[in-house]
Parts: sequence; structure tokens; C-alpha cells
Amino acid sequence: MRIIISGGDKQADFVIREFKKTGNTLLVINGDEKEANYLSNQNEIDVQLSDPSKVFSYREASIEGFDLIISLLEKDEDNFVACSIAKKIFGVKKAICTVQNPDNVQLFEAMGIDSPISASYLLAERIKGESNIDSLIKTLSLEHDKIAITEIRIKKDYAIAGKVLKDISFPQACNVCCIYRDPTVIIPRGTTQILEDDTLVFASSTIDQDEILTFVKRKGA
Amino acid sequence: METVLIIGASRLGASIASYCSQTGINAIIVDKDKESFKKVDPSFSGFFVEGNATSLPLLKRAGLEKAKEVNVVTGDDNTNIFLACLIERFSKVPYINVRLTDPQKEVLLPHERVRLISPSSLAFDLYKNLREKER
Repeated sequence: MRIIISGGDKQADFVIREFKKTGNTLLVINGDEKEANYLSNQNEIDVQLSDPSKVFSYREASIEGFDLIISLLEKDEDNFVACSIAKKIFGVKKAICTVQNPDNVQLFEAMGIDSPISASYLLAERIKGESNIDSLIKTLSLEHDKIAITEIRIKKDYAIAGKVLKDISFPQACNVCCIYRDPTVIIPRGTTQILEDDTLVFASSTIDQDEILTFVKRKGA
Repeated sequence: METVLIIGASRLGASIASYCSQTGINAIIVDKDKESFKKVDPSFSGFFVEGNATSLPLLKRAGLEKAKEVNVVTGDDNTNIFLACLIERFSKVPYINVRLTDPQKEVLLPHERVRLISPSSLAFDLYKNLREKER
């Protein structure tokens, strides 16, 4: 692939290293002399010293026919313009850039940037995937999201509070692995009674997680 | 009353604001720096909104949806291009005027509803006129 990498210091350094390994043609443009020298020395590569959000910088570099631009500039608007120049003026096939403002991910996509990447957006998506937004519940996914470990704190008004395990008809797909009752960890047996403020840890398949939550959080009579 | 939104309290933004006041147009100026509102004529009768105009919710709060015209006149070309694309894509404002210093970037502006204000070509036209007069 032929790739343009615009701006960025540490990020650019990493991206250059990764793409260089796999034998791509790289064109690195940086507007800061210090950063340009750093990138050039670190990676034994030519770095074009010119403003990566100006049309002439790309004209000078003849980027027609390149496959990808990766824009790592500080300001979101500069990245938008660098990517737009590459795509609209020089016909570069795909544009990836970083964005500071997570709200810009969707806006950039709607305006023709193929992959805007925001660290905070990714983080939020990841957290949403990892856990239910409920302060009492923590979950962990294993084996590429196939197995879910769910932690639920028992409240007084839950139907199962005060009951003995063997008397509770849990959904089939559900297994209580352990109970944490401060300060001890209990390995449950059929005769174990569930008390208020116990933390139950369930293992299940990810698809059954919601069913378990609904079951455990049912209110008692 | 007609509403005009001005993004960027630049010299140009301030002049447009004064013009609106004098001609009975309701103007709203958005700028991220409160200090820059000082550039605007004290007789200005419109509103100031402090904040980053690259946020769509802020623009909507400032009155984007009822504006007949938006003037994108911050001092930064890239910000202006981004804003022009954003407003064209996500609002129905009939007129979007955009100031760009770098003529090479004109092609990045959307074609629909967007009109260019190019100080460098205006200055060059003036130069040509002056030159004609010399003859």
C-alpha cells in the first residue's frame, strides 16, 4: 500500500514503524522541524517538512494514486482539511484521522472521512461493551466476549435475598461461582443462604447475561 | 425579524455585526474568546454567544436553525472549511458565507448554498483596478 502520514510525533513514530515492517510505501509530512527530524532519525526515512494542512504540500509530494492518508494533527479541523485535500483533490482512496472531540467521530464520518478515531470515544464504547451502566453491577468478558462474569450486589428487596440456593430456580444458563460476604469468600453449596449485601458472582454465556440480571433483580413480595 | 449568525468575532465579523445592527437585522456573534467581543462596536444591538462553534449543539443553541444567513469568518481557514461543511450538511440555512484566505482550498467547500468571501482575490481585483487607472 502507498500511505501518507501527516503530522503527529509519538503516534506518527509508532504508525511509521508498524507500516514500514510490512513493506508499504510511506510518505511522511510534518510541519514541525523538530518532529520531522525526530521521525526521520528514528525510522531512517525521508520526512517532508511542510504544513500538512496545505494543498501545496501534497502537490509537492505527488500523492495521486495513494491508497491511504493517516492524519495525526492536533486540531480536529486540521485533520478534516488534510483528509479532505487528499481525498477530494488528489483522489486518495481512504482517510483515517485522530479526533480530540469524541462528538466529531460521527460528524466526520457523515462528511466523508472513512475512519475518524477518538481515544475517548473508543474508551466509552469499550466501557459500554464491558459493563452494564449500573453502579451495582460489574462485568468482565472473556474469550472474545463469549463468556461473561457478572458481579451483582444483593439488595434487601430482591426476591432471592434471604433464600437458600437450592430453593431458587435460577435460569438454566446461570451458575453462581462464588459469593463475597465481607470479609470472606464463600464457595456456594445448595444450602448456602443468600443475604443482603452479598456480592454474587455469576459465570454465563454473554447472551444470557441480561436474563440473569433480570432474574436476580426481581423484587420480592 | 431576519436573523444572521456570525461565527468568529474577527475584524470582518465585527464589521458584519455593526452592519446588521444599523440595518435592523438581528445578529448573533459566536466566538470562543470573550475578549474578542470587544472588537465589536458598542452600538451593536445583537447577542454574543461564547463557545466553540465547531460544536453542533452550541450552534443550535445560538440559533442556527432560525438563521437566514450564516457568516463563517473565523481567522482560521481550516476551521472555516470544517464549519461550512458541517453547517451545509446538518442545517437548512439558505445562505452560508465563508471567508477563506487560501484560494487553493476553495475546492474543499460544498457547492450548495455556500458562497466564498476571498480577501486575497478581492485585494487582487482592487490592485488590477488601480493598475488600470495608471494608464
